[in-house]
Amino acid sequence: MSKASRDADFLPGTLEMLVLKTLSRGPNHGWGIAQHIQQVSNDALKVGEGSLYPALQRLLLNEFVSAEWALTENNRRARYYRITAAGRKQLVEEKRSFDFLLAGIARVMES
Amino acid sequence: MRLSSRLRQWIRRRQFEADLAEEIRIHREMEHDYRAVGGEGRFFGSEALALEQSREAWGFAWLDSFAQDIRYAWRGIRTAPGFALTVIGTIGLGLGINATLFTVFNTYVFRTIAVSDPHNLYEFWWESRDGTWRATWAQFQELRRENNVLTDVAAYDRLYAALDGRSATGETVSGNYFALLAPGAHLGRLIQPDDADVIVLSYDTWRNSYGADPHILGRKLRLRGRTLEVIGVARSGFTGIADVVREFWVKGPPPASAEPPPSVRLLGRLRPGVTPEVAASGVLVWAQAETSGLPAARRAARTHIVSRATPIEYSPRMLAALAPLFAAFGLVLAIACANVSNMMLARALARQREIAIRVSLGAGRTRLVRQLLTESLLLAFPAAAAGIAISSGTLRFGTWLLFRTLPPSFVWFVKFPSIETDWRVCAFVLLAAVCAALLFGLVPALQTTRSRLVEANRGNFSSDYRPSRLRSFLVAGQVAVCALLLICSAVALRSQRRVSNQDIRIRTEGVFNLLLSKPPGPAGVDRLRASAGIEAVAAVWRAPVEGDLVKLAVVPSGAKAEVLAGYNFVSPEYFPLLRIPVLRGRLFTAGEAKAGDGVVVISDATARRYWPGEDPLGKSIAIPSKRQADGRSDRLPPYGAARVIGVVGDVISGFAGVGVDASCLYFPTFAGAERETLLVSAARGKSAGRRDIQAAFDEIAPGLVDQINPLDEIHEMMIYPFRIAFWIAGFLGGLAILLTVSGIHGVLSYLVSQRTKEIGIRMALGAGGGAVVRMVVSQCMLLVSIGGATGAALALLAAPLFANLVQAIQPYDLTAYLGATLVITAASLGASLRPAQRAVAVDPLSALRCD
Repeated sequence: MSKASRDADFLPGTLEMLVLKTLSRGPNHGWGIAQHIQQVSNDALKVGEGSLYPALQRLLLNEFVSAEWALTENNRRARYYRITAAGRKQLVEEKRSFDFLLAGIARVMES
Repeated sequence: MRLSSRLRQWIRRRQFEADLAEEIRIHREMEHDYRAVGGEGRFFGSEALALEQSREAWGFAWLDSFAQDIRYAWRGIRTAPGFALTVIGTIGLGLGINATLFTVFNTYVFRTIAVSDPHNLYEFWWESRDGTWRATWAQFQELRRENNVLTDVAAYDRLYAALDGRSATGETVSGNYFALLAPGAHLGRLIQPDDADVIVLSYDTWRNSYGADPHILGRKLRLRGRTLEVIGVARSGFTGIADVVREFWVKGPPPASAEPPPSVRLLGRLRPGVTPEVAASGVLVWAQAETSGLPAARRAARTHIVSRATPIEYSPRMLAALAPLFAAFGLVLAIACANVSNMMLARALARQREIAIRVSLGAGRTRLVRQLLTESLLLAFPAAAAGIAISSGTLRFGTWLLFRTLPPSFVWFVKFPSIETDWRVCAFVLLAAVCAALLFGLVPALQTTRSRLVEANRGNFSSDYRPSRLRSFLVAGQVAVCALLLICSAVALRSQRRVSNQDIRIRTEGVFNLLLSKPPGPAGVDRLRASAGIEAVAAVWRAPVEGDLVKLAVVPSGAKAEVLAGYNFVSPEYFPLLRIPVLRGRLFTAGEAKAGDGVVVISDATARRYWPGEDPLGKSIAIPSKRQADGRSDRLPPYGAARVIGVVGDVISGFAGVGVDASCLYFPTFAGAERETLLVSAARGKSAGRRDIQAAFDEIAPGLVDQINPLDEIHEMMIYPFRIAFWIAGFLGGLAILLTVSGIHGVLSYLVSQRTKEIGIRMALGAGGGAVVRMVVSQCMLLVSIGGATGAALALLAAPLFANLVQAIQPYDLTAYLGATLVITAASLGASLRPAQRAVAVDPLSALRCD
């Protein structure tokens, strides 16, 4: 169970938010996204492919991101994801509700 | 947006799968490289699971299984083409007749008339205490100027007249009629307010009667002695706004004459924001002011406003009136569904093994039911296509039959708007097909998938399967509906025979009813009498056998209360001309008729009713008030009481469906008086007689005759609806019995094959062939008697709807019930014969050996 706490999807929908946030800094491929989340979170959040790719499909389905094949700097083929305008709007939305939730949790924990 | 991107992705599924697999492979490579340079790796999940979950995000599972279901159903259908064809044929037949009915309904009730903005078009009239009134031309002009609820009002009236010597239906219209409707012209232009002697033809008339002559414009046509110039041909599809197709339009009003001003129908378009109710009250205010000078009973009390967007306005009342018809047609479809349901149940039994194996392998019941329903739907769609084809064939045949059997003098009058299969009909048939598929597919699907895992695992697939009760129920239901429909057709047949065989007791051959554009005057009548080939001429207010007698409230002397009596105005020649015998007293003289004396001749039945056992001669009949219950009564005797001077024989001069006139008062009038119809008897029979009359009028006053209708054909026309009713009922009944017989046959054959072993044992133990036949037949007869009794009970329940409608229709006719029951019993016996034979032919030895 200790692994679950490190999984980025510990709250439903959080992973999508993290992916969108990552992509808002520029297009990236799946591995790059996972790597970024892990590094920025100081290894606190590790995103496995079992949850990353379904999350990316959900984002594609809702047209929050778009995808196309391109070459990486190491000349390797990879599928790059790019955030769409709808995705940015969604990110703002999710950030707000997440902040609200977090503040709520904090208040409960400090009381 | 989501659905479309989902669908796009599903169509390019192979690409999607390849991309995803490639992506995950690259991901792993990157991960591998990263670890190689010392990075800390992440959790590696199952690749298949990642793929599966990614796929699920798109919701492909549902679509995939749907495609699977279709493939599965298609395979099932392909292995049993005979079964599939039978289902498609049976359901197609049921759908076809319902599509036929709906197509006709759609043409009159849903399809809007071919004018611009039909939904804003309303017709209105008003009602007073003593009848229904329409405006005169003068009132119409007034209303045009003085109303604030309608943007404009147009007037029209029907006109049946000879156009270039050919009987035709048209309209006289106000100058703004076409401006208000704006139907568009195919050739030339339409009538405008300052036009005078012009005529516009309908597209169909132009094509059928004038050979689509491109130079028709400017041609002169004769109508009622006037010469009119063709100025245009209306756009195809526009046939006037009534339910009867119009062929031409001329400018009204007719030149002023001494006759009472002809009434018109009013059409208006509502001002923006005005509801029909507001418009109705607006028109009422105007009509009340307009009629304020009249006696109280004739002042406008209520206005009617009716949408003219479609030939017949859609209303709950109209639907209720048609409900029995829809129910009868729907029931035939229900029988067809029951048949197919039964076939599917039998087939499902053969599939029991397959289903059981699938259940034990973990198939969910909903999925199985969905699969079986997909199969039903797959069969229902071709059935819908067959139904549409059948309906257009039926309509063509029906029209042909109608024109073949109509009395020849009226063929010109019967015209239909083009009856087409449009999107509404297709949508209706598709919807009905889906409903039918659910109806015939759901029960077998539920029944089949009710699998018992334990038995199935034991390898026992055939025992403990009890759809037989369900099947019996279906067969009994079929028989019940079939009995109901057969009883209906027997009742219709008997009433048709009753009506067409009854003696109407008046002479009809060689007698003609003349419709004239204006009264010929006494001198004209005298000249007609003297013409060659003319035997006699009589005048009558309402021609005989044209419909129910108009009723009048009277008080016979000696009675206290008012009674309603049928009445008419006739000239003395009426009785000898129609060969109505004078039983007592005398007829009135021409002098009495002209002087307006208060005398009356009554029918024998009237005399017996008012003064039973007394001498009616010299009695008087008071006509107490001017208030009349009958909306059609717009003419009353000008005196308060009339003395009975003669009694004549009973005849049928009203509607043939109600039989001999229950009461009839003949008030005097004379030939040549205004507003009378002329009856003429000709010496040389029907076709020569018509020519003689036409020739006589060509000399007296050309263009005066609108129509010359033989009385026998008028009578035939009046009872024609009974024939149609019988045809429709007979057709439905025939279909029902066909379906039921095939249903019984199928079920019994199936039961016999299922009981082969049992029958074999019975025969091995010494049962004779007779006993086996009895067993099979009695099983069938039990269902038939239950079904037949239910059907008869249903017919009795429905009977009050039709009782007291028309005397000729007797829904409690015992003969009809017995006949229908006999037919269905005989047919069922016939249907059970083959299965019974097969049961007798069972060879005990081989039956016991098999399985």
